[in-house]
Amino acid sequence: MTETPTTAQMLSTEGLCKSFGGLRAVHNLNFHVDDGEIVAIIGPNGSGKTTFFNLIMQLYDVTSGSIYLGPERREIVGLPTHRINALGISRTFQTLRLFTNLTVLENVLVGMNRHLSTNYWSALVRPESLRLEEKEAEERALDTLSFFGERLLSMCNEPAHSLSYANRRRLEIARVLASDPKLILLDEPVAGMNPTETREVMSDIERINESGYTVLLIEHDMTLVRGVAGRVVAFDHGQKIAEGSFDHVCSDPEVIEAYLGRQSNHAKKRPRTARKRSRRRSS
Amino acid sequence: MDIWIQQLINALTIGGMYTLVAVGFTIFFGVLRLINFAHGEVFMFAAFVALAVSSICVAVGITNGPVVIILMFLFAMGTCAALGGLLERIAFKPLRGMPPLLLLVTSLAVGIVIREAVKEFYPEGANPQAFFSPYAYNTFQIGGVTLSYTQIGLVAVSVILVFCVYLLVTRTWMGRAMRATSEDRDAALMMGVDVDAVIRNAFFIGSALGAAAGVMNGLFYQSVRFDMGWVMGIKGFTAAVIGGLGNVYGAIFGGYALALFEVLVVALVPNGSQYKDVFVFMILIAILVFRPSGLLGTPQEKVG
Repeated sequence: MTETPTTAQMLSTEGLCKSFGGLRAVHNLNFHVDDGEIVAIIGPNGSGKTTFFNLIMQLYDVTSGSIYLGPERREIVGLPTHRINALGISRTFQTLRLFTNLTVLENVLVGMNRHLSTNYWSALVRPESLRLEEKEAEERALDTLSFFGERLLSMCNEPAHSLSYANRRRLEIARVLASDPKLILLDEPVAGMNPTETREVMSDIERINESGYTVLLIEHDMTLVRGVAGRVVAFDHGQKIAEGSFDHVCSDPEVIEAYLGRQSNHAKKRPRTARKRSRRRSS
Repeated sequence: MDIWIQQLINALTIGGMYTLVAVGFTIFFGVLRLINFAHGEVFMFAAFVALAVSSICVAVGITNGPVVIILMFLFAMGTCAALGGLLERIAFKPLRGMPPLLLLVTSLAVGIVIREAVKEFYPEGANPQAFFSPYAYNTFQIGGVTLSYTQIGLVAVSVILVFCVYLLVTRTWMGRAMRATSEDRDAALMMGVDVDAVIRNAFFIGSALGAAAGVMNGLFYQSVRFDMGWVMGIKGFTAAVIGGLGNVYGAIFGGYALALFEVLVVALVPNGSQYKDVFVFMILIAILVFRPSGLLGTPQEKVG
């Protein structure tokens, strides 16, 4: 599968770099996600996947390069993080970062904050218009929670810390959906889940995609990547080392080496034939 | 029995002040991980603004008690909200992302500047000033309990303000954004919360509430001094710590709990009124050692 951007681009980067001191966490990255795609980023730990997400959200300052959003290619480098969300990118976290003391419903409402007037003086007087707005927001939040059936709805007035682990992950996704994004970034959505739960998340991601959202996800679980991703991008040392269909990427020698082959320096010094043999065995 | 009711009402009065100061401490800590020791000085500054307002009112011939008191509250709260916003902008915003200790030391420095400025520039600022309090001696009796109108008014004002804070925090977008920011600033940012605006608002609200407490303190004790902010700062901080820093409900609980405790010490311990601060600081130390997240607090997971 080659790069043929026939559809509009949702997100693209050009020459994106991020260094932490001497460490090049992301290096000269050219990357794109098309509208309506599900793209998975894979790569060993420390290969710059989450850093890439943080760069998209402008949580880190970009060292050099550009990030463009949407078909109009709007440059988003340098914007404040909360504006990125307003422009339509929203994310979940590898380690859950819910507002655990807020209720389930409130967590979703925080995701909708920017759609609402934030005049807090009127909040004390509570005019009719505000009450209406809040009621609408709440209905929309409940609607979003119903994406996961009764699992979250039945808990909507409980604090988020009372949820089970899988439900917390679901709530993170609900919170993202509520902020009405165009592009959703999922950072290891099935980390710590059992196979049954993983299958359920896979169908959730497909449903999200079918509702018109573009999805970019980081995942180590190859079942999920194989199942949902239309395109797979492999990272290593902050660089894109392979791109294409799941099978194409997984048979790429550089990818295999990134995952399996670099543990020993002396292995590199071994004769080529020996290395090839060992590679064949491991794949 | 009557003496207990009397003491309970005293506790409600000073508890209201502690609570209003503590709410400021707790929301500054929530949104910025800042222990703002300048907050006590803002409290003191408010009392002097109110004092100036009362002097000006008397000078221009406004002597209607309620009018003067309302003007005192409005001006003090308005000025201090602006002062809080200014401090945030010039003292704390440039330090965003620095270690919390740096912010704490900055707040101490800012506090010294405010305290010394009042001492030097307010006329006779180094001496205690008599505070305008027209109803302090208008008392009435219920059973054997003697109440002054001032005290009743102060309890009412503090309860109303605390209730407003409660509404603000639980029912409004800003309050929800504030609580979200307190729990996880980066996550809030990425959910589209304008954290800069939240921090600004926290300073407006916190400082205005501290200012209200400053005016109440003047009306209650009928005297203000340039150095009264320090002790109030520690008490407000203690109240916030009792409830768990960052937890607004906790601050409300902590303020009243601390006042009740103080009143009990005064009533039960021989010479208690001389030792009450000692007991307060013992409480502070004990809580910092054994329950650093407060009596109500859930343990603070992520900091910064």
